[in-house]
This record gives sequence, structure tokens and C-alpha cells, in this order.
Amino acid sequence: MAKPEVAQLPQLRAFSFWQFLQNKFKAITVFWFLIVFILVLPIILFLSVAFSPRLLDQGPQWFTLSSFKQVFERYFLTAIVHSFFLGIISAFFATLIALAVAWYVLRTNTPARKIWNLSIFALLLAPSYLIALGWERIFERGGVLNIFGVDLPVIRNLLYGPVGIGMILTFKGIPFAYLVISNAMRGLGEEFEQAVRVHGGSRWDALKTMSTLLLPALWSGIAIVFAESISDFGVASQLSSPGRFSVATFTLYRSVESLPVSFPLCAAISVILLLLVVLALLAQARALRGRSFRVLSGRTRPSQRQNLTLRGKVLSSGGIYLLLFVTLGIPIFGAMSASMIEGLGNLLSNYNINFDNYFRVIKSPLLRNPLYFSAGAAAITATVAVILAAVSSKMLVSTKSGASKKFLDFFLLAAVGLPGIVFAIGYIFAYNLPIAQKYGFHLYGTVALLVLAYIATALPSTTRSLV
Amino acid sequence: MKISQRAIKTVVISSVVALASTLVGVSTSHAAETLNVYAALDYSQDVATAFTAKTGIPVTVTALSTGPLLAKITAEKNNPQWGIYWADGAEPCANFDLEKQLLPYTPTGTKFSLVGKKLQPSTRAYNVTGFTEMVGVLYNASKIAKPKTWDDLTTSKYKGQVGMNNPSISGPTFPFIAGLMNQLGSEQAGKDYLTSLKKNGLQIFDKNSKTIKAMETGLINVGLVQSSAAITEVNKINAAPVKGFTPAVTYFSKTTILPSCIAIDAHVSAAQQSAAKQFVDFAFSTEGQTIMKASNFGDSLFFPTVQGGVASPAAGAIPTLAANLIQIVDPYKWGPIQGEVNDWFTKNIA
Repeated sequence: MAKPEVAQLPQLRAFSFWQFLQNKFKAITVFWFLIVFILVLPIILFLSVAFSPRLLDQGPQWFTLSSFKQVFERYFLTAIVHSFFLGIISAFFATLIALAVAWYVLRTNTPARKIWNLSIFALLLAPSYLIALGWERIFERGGVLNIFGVDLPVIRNLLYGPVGIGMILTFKGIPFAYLVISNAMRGLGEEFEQAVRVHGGSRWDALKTMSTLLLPALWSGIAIVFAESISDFGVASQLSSPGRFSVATFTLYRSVESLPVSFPLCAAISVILLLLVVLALLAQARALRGRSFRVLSGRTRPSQRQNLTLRGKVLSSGGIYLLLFVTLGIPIFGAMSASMIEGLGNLLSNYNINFDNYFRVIKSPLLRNPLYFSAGAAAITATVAVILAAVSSKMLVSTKSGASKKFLDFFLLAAVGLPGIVFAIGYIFAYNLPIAQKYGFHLYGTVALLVLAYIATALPSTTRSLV
Repeated sequence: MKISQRAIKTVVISSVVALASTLVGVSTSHAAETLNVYAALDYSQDVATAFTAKTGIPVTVTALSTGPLLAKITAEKNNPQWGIYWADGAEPCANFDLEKQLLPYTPTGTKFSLVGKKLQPSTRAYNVTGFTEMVGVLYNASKIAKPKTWDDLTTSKYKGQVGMNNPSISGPTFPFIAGLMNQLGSEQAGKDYLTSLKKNGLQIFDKNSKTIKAMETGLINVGLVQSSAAITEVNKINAAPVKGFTPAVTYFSKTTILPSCIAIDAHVSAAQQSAAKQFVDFAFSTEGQTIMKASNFGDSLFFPTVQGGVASPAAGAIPTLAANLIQIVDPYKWGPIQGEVNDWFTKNIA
């Protein structure tokens, strides 16, 4: 006779909230949730206003292209064309300079390599607005040089025009291009150069060969610097207006500040900026034409540094120091000296050099507290952005080519290609929606929303740094 | 060191939980009883602080210049967050009124002066807490003779010496242009005058502060700016004289009145509307008007619109309509064409 089956009581397990979270929410789901809400939604809502103003109560039409018609009028079209050419020129020169510096720093024993490795991140992190401001403070009427009796109107006029704007955009683009190129160069063994030299080629032939192998990195550098340049607002805000040389980001900002404001027009300008960025990516893809440039293998050996002659050391170090002087030294000097000169900006005043402005910041809560607030917000932003960027970069370098990878790549690039003010408006559109308030999603007007916006703007550059 | 999937999940989830807790934990600025004031006037925070101390009603002031303030209001259009709008220039309020966005209100117990009565709209959609003039003609008396009429500025004596604000950026400047057009008889006549100024080397700057800075650096010697900004500059240099720079203010016939307008949003909650009405009453009270004048520079140098009101000592004598040197332009006529005029200005003059 078979034994009756005894019902087994289910084993009770201790409830673990932590386990519940980990089982219920895959990390990747949370990641996509954050990406959609902090990056995708604000961008899409803002850009949609260019086509459908009525969607967000910005006009009567559900669908129209009239904003684009305005964009192609002479005033805006001129600014877009200026941005396009400045983007190309700054991308080209920044990449060329970055390639040369990367070669000297990674392949030779130039004495300046250590200071370059320290300074490159300062240049990367310095806001473009601050670099432009430093130059402006030195050369403006009533500026630092004027105070010492030096007036250079020729340089001042150049600074407030395409030359000055292009120069600073190039400076700002160098670290982006350098990071991409140096990463690729580190993975490139020296056997290719040695092969060229063994077969009678010159150093120049070796450099040409290496450059060919570095083409994906060079094109990536050009695309990234182009995107950063056309979307830069910091330089435009300082130098674009006084010299009357308009660029797209400045006209976009003016459209937001103008009375009355037209968000459909701003969105249309943003769509054009984004299309220019897509153009850069397409150009990159076409240039590479699907060729494989994989050179890393199990037999790749790290390259040995070339020993430069004394003349080579002097020239290479001099070049790098000069580059650091113009990209960082002059703006830092300009900003710091301006902060210490009382009466700066007025040709007719008596000047004193002191630290009064610094003491004012330290003593006044109105000036001091925003610094504390920004530091706190930056700490939170950096923590969360690095975590999200780690996941993003892992996805971008994956060999699998899926829709999610392309989706992420596009929106990260859109975030680079669009000025910060677009994000600000996009966040108002997204988080001030009546439906958000109705369901108790009260983020609008809070500090938390500001931190989310900071994370969204920091994510693309952080991701690229980790790639 | 190999990092396990579990560890990565743990880090990500804990970061999200930490972030979420900051999102949930932060209180919003939109508690039901808090009055949201959007203002482009220096004294708005002081007035709000005193109002809260007196009534216990909490107030959040969003203080921006007129352009960004109106951009924020426009962006929030499908879900307005402001209870009070307070800034120079009646045209935006007139446009809000035409869009039926404002709550008509007459401040309790306020008696307006003759100018004050003329500045109030018939719909009572907004109220005028004070006014300044557009423009005060600020000139460097050390370097240039005092200009006397609008036509003087188009002569060779002032070639390349004159600067003004961009009406697309500077809220107070469009009323000045509307006033020119009104005085000269038509929109086209005003445009022709501005074109002649441009041909005589007119330079354009964003706002009062930038135009005045251009004068301080010697780029121009005549600045067409808001009267309060002009008087502030004169007082500043008088207190600390500078060789070679002697700013003085003159007014041409006619100068356009620039009202400081305060308006209540008709679509906010009843609680906010009630608080907003009390705020408007406070702004017109003796205490409120005293706070507005207290700093004695910048926006505080306005002329009162209430009977018996006294201007700040530094502001000078209150202009009157009787002398026929000032004019009031109809914001309901000029407001709707502000976009088109500013657009023309940006493309042809700026």
C-alpha cells in the first residue's frame, strides 16, 4: 500500500525588502527609467514644440513647419552657417593639435608630459564661459591691459569675432579630442611604426601610417569637438554679442530671452543644431565605411618611448607649455587679476589691487551660501552621474549592435549638441505638466529637479570619459 | 578585483533609493498657502519679507529680469505657477489681459493721483505701483554738450556717440519705442527715426547696465536708459567723482511714462488669490511704498502713483501731465505689435 502523500508546507522565508528590490527591479530597468525621465523626455518635449506648438500650449497649431521658415530667414540662417563653419574649423584644429600632443606625450620622453597629464583635466573641466571671460578681461576696454596703459584694439576686435570665438572653441575641444586619440594610441603597438622604418620610411611616413590606424579615433574626436562647439553657449554669451558675430546658440538664447518669447522658434533652431550633429556622425560613419581598424591582439606590445634629442625636448616642451599658457594660463590670469582689481571695467577710475572681492564672498552669506549649495549639488551630481555613466559606457562599447545602444548613443549626443538652456525649458515642459501635478509628482520648482538637470547635462561628457 | 552582478545591482539600487529619498524628502515651493510672486524689481524680496512678517502668509519670490521672467511664464503656460506678476512695462500685462489671464482687482483704500488714475486700465486687470520715465538721456557733460531734442541725436555732433538698449532684451525699452512712434504719429515714423539714428552711428546694448558701462568706458557719451538707472549713475559718480566723466540727465519732450505693474493670475487657487489681493494692498500701503523706496537707488527711484505719495529723495521732482512733457502710451494698442516691432529692430537696428 502506497504511503499517502503528505502535503509539504511551504517554507517560510524571512521577508527581505532588499531582496524584494533586487528581484523586482533589475538594475538595467532602473537605469532606463532614469535615462528616459532625465534625458529623453525633456529633449523630446522641447523639440516637439517646433512641430506642434499646441501640444504644450505654445501656439494654435497642432502641426506646422512655420518655425522652420523663420529659422531659414537671413538673421538666423547666418548664425547657423557661422556655427557650422566654426564647428568644422575648431574640430579640425583641436583634433590636429590633440594628435600632435598625444604623440609627443605618449610616444616620446618629452619632459612636459607630466604637466600635460595634470593640466588636461583642468582644461576639460574649465567652463568655456570662464575661458572666454578670462581673455575678455585682459583685452576689453577698461580691462587688465588698459589699466597698465596697454591698448590693443586689433586683438580686441579679433577676440570679439570669428577668430576669437573659433580660437576658444578650439582650446575647449582639445581635451575631448585628446582623450579619444590618446586612448586609441595607447592600444596601438609600435610594431607598425617599426615596420615602416625598417622598410626605409621616414618618421613622417610612420606618422602617416599611425594616423591611418587612428582614423576611427580621429573621426570620433572631430565629431565630438564639432558637437561641443556648435552647442557651446559659454563662449557665445561672452564674445558673440559685443562683436556682432552671431552664432546659433546665441540666437537661440536671444530667442528665449526676447520679448515676446517664441519657444517654437527656439525648438526649431535646436532641431537644426541636432541635425548638424547627426551630419557629423554620418560623415564619421561614411569616412570609416565599416572598415575594421582593430589592431589590438594578444601579441601587441606597449610601445617604447622615443628618446628625443635636447633640441627635440626643448621644442616639444616649449610647444606644450605654450599651448597650456594660451589655453589655461591666459584665461586664469585674466579671471584672477580681474577679481583682484578694484574698479576694473571703468577707464576713468582709480584702481587698487586687493583681495576685497574674495573677502566679500567669504563674509557675505548671500555670496557664500550659493557656493556651498553648488558644492553640495555637484557632489550628488558627480556620484549619480558616474554610476549612470559607467552603465552607459559599458553599453556603448559593447560589440552588440542593438536598438537600445543606438537609442542611448543618439540621446547622449543630443544632450551634447543642445545648449543647457534647452534642457531648462525641456524640464519646465516635462515636469510642469498638469498630469504630473495631478498624480502628486511635485518635482517642479524643487532643488531635486535642479540636481536631476545637472545629472542630465553631466552624463554625456562623463560617459565619453569612461568609454 | 571581480565585481559581482549582485554588487553592481546593490550599488545601483542603493544610489537610486538615496536619490529618490532626496526627491521625496524635499518640500516643494508650491504648498497651497504659499504665494508665488514673479518679479523683476529690486525691492520685491524686501516687500515680500515684510508682507510675510505682517500677515504670516509665506511668499516665494522668483526674481529675474523681465525677459527670462516672461519666458518662464510662457513656458509654464499650460500650468501657470505664479500668483503675482510685478515688473516694469504695461504691455505684458495688457497681453495677459487680452488672453483673459488676469484677475481684476482694485486695491482696498488706495487713492490714486491724476497720473496714477490715467495709468490704471479700465478693466482693472492690473495696477500700477509706481512709474519711471523712458528715457532719461544720460550724457557725459565733460565730453559732450547737452542734447536738447530727439533731432539733435541725429546730427553730426553726436555721430557714433549715442547708445540705447535692445527692446528685445530690455523690458523697459519697448515702451520707449512705442512712445517715439506715438509721438511721431505712426509706427513707420518711429522706425524712420530709429533708422536715422542708426545711420548716425547708434550703438545697441542689451540693458541699462551695459549701456551705462559703455559710457563709463568711453565707448559712447550719450545713453538712452531708464530714468532710475540714469539717476543712480549720476548719484554714484557724484558720491565718488571721476575725472573726465560727469554724467548728467536730461529729458526730451516728450518722455514716455514706464509703469511698474502688478497683476494677479486669475487661474490660481482661491487661497492664492486671496493672498495675492492682500499682497497688492500691502504694495500700495504706506508701509509697502516706504519699503520700495528704502534703498534710494535703482528701481527704488520711482515716482508714486498714489495721492500724497512722495518719491525717494534721490529721484527728484515728480513729473506731471500738466507740463505736457510726459506722455502715456496705450499698452493695449502697442502691446500686440511688440513682437513685430522688436523683430524689426533686431534685424535692422541691432
